[in-house]
Amino acid sequence: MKLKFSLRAIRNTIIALVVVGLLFLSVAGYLTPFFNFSTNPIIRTQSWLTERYTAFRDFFNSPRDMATLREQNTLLQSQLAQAQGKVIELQERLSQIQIVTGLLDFARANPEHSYLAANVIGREVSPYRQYIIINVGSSQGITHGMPVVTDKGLVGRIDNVISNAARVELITDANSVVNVRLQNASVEAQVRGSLMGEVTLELVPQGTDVQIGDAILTSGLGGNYPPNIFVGQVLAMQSKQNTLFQSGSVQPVVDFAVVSAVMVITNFSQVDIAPLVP
Amino acid sequence: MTYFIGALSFILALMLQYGIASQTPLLAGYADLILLVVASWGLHQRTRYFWVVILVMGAMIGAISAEPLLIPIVVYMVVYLAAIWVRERILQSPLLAMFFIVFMGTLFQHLLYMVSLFISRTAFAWREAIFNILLPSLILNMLLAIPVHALIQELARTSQTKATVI
Repeated sequence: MKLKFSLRAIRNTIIALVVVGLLFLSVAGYLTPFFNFSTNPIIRTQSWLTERYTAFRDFFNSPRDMATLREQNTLLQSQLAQAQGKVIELQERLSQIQIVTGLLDFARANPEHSYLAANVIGREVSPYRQYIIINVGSSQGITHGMPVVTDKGLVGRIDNVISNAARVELITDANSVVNVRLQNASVEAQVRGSLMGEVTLELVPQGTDVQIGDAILTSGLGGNYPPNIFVGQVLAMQSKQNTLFQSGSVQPVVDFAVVSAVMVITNFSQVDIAPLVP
Repeated sequence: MTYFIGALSFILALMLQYGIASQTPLLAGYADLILLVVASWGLHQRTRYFWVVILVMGAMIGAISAEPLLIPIVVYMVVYLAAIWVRERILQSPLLAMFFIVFMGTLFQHLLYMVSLFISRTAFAWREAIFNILLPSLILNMLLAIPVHALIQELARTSQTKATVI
């Protein structure tokens, strides 16, 4: 009995020592390779199983998700289209407001003239002529020869009028001649249009110091335009020997390709000086 | 019916010309939709007095345009009569006939424009006018000849069918 107790005690002690030893080895980190070696296959198997299950689940659930996503996508696209439409509409309104504000500022800055605002509704059918059509005419008091401007500067003058529309000859037309003065050089000259819509500065006396960027204003000579309307800036000058005058190219201040709203100066009457020309 | 549809097509072409085509240049030239419509109607309609519509349209454009009044009238009448002549005597393929008429009509029109400038003593360079205005306009006209031809052909067919039914 005594021996039996003794053997049992020894066995328990050995087990306890083994457990304590294993715990000690585990805490000390000596069993980590063994744990890794034993758990890796389990983890790999678990990963493989989870992946397959996920793929299996997605396979059966995806059509429903796709349909939902497509619906949401369509809804969002329609909302985006509506928002884009609103943005375009607002941009259009902003652009119109900017144009009108610009014209209003110009009218306030030049109170000596009376203005009538008009929209550009068309352009000349012949590519050899630089004309625009505006939506005001004789019914609104428009007559032949009235100057047309934008907030930036000179556009041209009324060439022909019907009851609710008028044709405007641009300063870029080949037949257009505007008497101007160079603001810095204080000399008179002429600005002439061309077939291609380019504007040239002519009849500048030799010896006049003209700088690139000099402002060109209407002089009022000839009675076709009121004085001091901004026409453009000098882009380049050419001076040839044995000629009386210099010439140059002009950058008009108005972009005639995109002009959409103009103002007609209604209190200016063109002076016909033809009878005085000898 | 043909007269009515023809007049409507001209008014639409006029509006498109002043509103869009004249503001869409290639270099300095642009398409003449009215010339294309005139040429197409000349090739497809069969009524006797359609030339009156062309005459009225030409006079209207002459009145609006800065060019002398007679130039659009002469150009469009000549193009229309040439289209009828080509249709009846030379080419049987309408699209080829359209190209031919548009090509010759555009050259004739621009020649008249240049002569007008020359007579009015407007300073211009012939070379510049040809290379920057005439040739781009010609290209645009030839390109637009195909859709305009198809459209007017369909309109003419519709109007003439209805006229026959009535």
